[in-house]
Amino acid sequence: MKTLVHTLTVTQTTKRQMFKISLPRNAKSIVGVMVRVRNVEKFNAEWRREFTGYYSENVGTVWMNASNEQGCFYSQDLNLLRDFYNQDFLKPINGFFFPNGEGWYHGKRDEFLSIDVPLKCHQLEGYFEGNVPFIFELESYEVKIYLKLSLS
Amino acid sequence: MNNYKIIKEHIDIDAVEGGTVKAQLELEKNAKYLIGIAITSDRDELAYHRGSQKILINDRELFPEGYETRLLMSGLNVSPDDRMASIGSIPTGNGKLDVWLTDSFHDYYPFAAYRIRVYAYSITEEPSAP
Repeated sequence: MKTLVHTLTVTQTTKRQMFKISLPRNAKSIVGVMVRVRNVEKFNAEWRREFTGYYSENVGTVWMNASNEQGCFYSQDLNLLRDFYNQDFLKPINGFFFPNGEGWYHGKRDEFLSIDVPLKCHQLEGYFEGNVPFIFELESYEVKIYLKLSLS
Repeated sequence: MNNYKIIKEHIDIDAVEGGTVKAQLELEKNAKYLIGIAITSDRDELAYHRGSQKILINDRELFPEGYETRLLMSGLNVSPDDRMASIGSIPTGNGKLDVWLTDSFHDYYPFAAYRIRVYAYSITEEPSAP
């Protein structure tokens, strides 16, 4: 078993970014996928503060293809995770631990999606289509693609 | 019933802004199989959003470059028994665990000095089948 990480750096002006991932020669199949975005927390925080109901929470769409014969094996709308939970209602208790701020915690665990895609070629191709509104002035953000491979 | 002993060791790594730092943990000589890894930090939010690491045991890759630190961290809302990332049972060989910690730019979390602590859990004998 081997884990592979591919990082795409996306600027806000990027509409569609193609990518290719070379897989090891001895990779037999893809058994797990996880895609997540990094460095969009500014977007997330602004979004929380300036919620208008107009802007989409969608950061973009990722699409991947393992070989021409199989077609698309993975596609996902990447949405902002509302994984910040405010614990301020516990202020009388946790005020002792967080005297100068608010208590928040992340409540989402990142997990691989289990799949089984036999590999006929050792290159994976796909694209990412960005969708972050310009108002948030993010210079760039990262899309990280994690693949879990079964090796022969 | 297994009568092996679990050995817990750790190493501290100080992050460098935008750079990579390498550290090596020499596992105890009785440690025969590495079974899990866990990471904590003195500045959780910085390690969580900025950190990534590559981990090798005996030149075998456990986690590749760019593997985010957040995927190996756990918070208070995780039971202590579940805080270790299991990696099967990998022979420790020469007993050297190499870790490369990389700090990456983040818009919302500017750099401040932080360190991560990498815990390695090993066992003294091969676990027998239940």
